[in-house]
Amino acid sequence: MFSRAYKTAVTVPPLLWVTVFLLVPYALLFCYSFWTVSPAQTIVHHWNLGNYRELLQVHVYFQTLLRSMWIAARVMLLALLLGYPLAYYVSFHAGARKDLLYQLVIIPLWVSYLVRAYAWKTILGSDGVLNTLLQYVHLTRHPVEFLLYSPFAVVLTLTHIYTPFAFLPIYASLEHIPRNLVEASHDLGASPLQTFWRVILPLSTPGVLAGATFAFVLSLGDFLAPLLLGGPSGIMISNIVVSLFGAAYNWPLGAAISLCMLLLVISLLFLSERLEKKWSFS
Amino acid sequence: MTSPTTQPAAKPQLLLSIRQVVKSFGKLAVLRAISLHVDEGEFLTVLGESGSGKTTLLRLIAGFERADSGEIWMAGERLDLLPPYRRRVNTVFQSYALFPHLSVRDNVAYGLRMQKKIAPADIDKRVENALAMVKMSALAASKPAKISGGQQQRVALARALVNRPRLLLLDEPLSALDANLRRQMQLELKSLQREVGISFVFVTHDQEEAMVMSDRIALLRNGNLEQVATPREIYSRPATSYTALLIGHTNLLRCHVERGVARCGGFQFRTSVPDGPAVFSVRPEHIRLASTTLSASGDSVHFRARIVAQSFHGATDLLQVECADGLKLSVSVPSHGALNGQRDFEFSAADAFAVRDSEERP
Repeated sequence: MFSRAYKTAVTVPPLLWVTVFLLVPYALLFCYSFWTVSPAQTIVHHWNLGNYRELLQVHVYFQTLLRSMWIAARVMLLALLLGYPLAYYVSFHAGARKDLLYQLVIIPLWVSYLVRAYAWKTILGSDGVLNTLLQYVHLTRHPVEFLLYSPFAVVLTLTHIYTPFAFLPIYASLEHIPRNLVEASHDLGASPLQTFWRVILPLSTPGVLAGATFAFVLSLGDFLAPLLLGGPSGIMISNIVVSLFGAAYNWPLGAAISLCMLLLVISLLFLSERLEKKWSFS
Repeated sequence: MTSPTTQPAAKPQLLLSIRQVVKSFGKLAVLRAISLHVDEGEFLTVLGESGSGKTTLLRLIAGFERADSGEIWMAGERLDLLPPYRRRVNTVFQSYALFPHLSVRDNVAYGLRMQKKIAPADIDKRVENALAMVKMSALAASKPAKISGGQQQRVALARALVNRPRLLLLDEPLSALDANLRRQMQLELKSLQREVGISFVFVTHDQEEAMVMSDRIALLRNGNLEQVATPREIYSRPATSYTALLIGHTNLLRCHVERGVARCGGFQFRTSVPDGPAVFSVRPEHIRLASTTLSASGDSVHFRARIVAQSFHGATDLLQVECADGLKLSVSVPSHGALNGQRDFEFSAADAFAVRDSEERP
C-alpha cells in the first residue's frame, strides 16, 4: 500500500502537465475554431460553423493540404528507401563497425534542424555549391533556378532530416529478429534473397510502419523547410496556419485548419498502431 | 569392438565424414582437429559439456560456420564449401526457431516451397503427412506462439524431416522440455529415426539421453574427441577416467601395479596392466554385499567398509561407503530396507576396468 501523500506526489505533476499543456490549448483551439473575426479585426465569441464552411469552399486550403500530403508521401517513400537498406546493412552486415555506423546515422539528429535546412539552402541556391559545381564542369552556363524554392527542395530537405526517424524503428525491428530464424531459413534451402522476402521483411513490417508514420506525420506538419526552401510553389499547410495566426490575424480560421490536421494525424497514428499490433509476432 | 547384437547385417554405408576439422573463435580454440564419420541411417550423439565445442561442430556441418582447416564430405561430395541452403542437411534448433509469422502448416511447407521442382499438390500432401507423423495435424493452422513447447518441438522436427534430408542435425532439441515429456520424446524421436531411416546427429549434454537414444556416442571434451563408441561399449569399456565418470556413476581406484598385482589402499587384485601407476573404474553395481555362502574365489576382491549414506532409487539402493583407510566408494545394491554399520563388500577383479587418467574430472 502506498501512502496518500506518495500517491498525490506521483499523480498530480503529470495530471497538471496534461491539463496545462494539452487539454487547455486544445480546448482553446476547439473554441477558437467556432468563433469569427470582426471587420474591425477583433475576435468575436460568436459561435458558428463559418470557418469550416470556408475550408470547404475556398479551394486553396484543400489544394495546399493535398500538396502537403503529396510532399509527405514522397518524403516517406524516400526515407524508407534510404532508411531500410541502411538499417539492414547496419543490423546484419556491419560486424564490428555496427555501433559506429549507428552513431553516425544518429549524429545529424543532434544538429539543429534550422542549420540543416539552411545547409540545403546554400547547396541548392543560385550561387550555391551545386550550381557552382554544375557551371565549373560546364554542364550549364547559367545557374539552375529550379533547384531551390520548389517542392523538390522541400522533399529533398525533409528526406534528409527525417530519414534517421525512419531508420531508427526499422533498425530496432531488425535487431529484434532472432538470428536463428535467418539460419533456419537458410537451413531449409532459402537463398539470402528468399530469406529476406519471406522472413526478414515480414518480421520487420512493424518497424517499417512506425518509420513510415514518423516520416509522413512529421513531414506533413513541417513549416520550416517550405518556408526556407519551398518558395510559392512549395507552400505547405503549416505555412498557411502560421500566416493565419500571424500577419492575416485570423486565429479562428487557423484554429479550424489546425483542428482538422490534428484529427487527420490522430487517425493516422491510430491506424498505424492498429496495423503494427496486427503485424507484430513477439 | 562391438557386441554382435548391435552389429547390422550389411556393412553400413558411409554418409558423412569430418576430416581434421579445426575451428577457433579468435584465440579460443573450439575444435582441435576433429575427425568423425556418420553412417547411413545411424543415430550418432555428440555428447559434451557446455564449452566442449559440440554445438560448433553441428554448426560446421549445417554450414553456419566455416572451419579454419579440415574438410567435411557427405556422400562423396565436399560439403563444407557449399552455403547452408545448398546442403542436403536440415537442423532442429535448440529453441526450435519456428517462423513466428507463419502457421504451423506454412512453417512445415517452407523448405519444400524453396525447391522449384515440387508441384503445389505434392507439397500439400507431404506437409500433411509430416504433420500426421508428429501428430500435429489438428493444430496445423495455429501460429507457433499459440502451441506448447513440446508441440513446437514436433513442428520443428516435421519442418526438417519433410525435406527428406540425407542428414538431420539436432541441437539439444529436448533441453527446453520438462523431464516427463523429455523421456517420452526421447523414445518417440528414436523410433521416428528408425522409421524414416535418416541419419541423425544429435547434440546433448545429457549422458542419459545419449545412452538411451544413440547407436554411437562421440564424447567431446575441450574440442577433442575423448571417445567414440556404442553406448554399451563406452559404458563398459570407458577409455579414460573422464569418460568413466561422465557416463554413469563410477568409482575410480588410483592404484599402483607391480608384477601383475594392483594395489590401492586395502585393495589388491590381479591385472594384466603393465607395472606403474594405473586408474581403475569400478561401477557401483559391480560391487555387492559379500555373502558368506559364496566362497572367496581368486579374482574376487573383498573389503570391509562403513555405510555412510543410503539413498533409494526404486529397484536399487545407492550406498556411500567409507573404507578403513578413508577411501569413499559408491555401491549399488538391490533394495532391501535400511542398511548401516560395518559391512563386507566384494567385487570381481574382472570388473575393475583400467582407464587412461584424464586428470580433470567432469
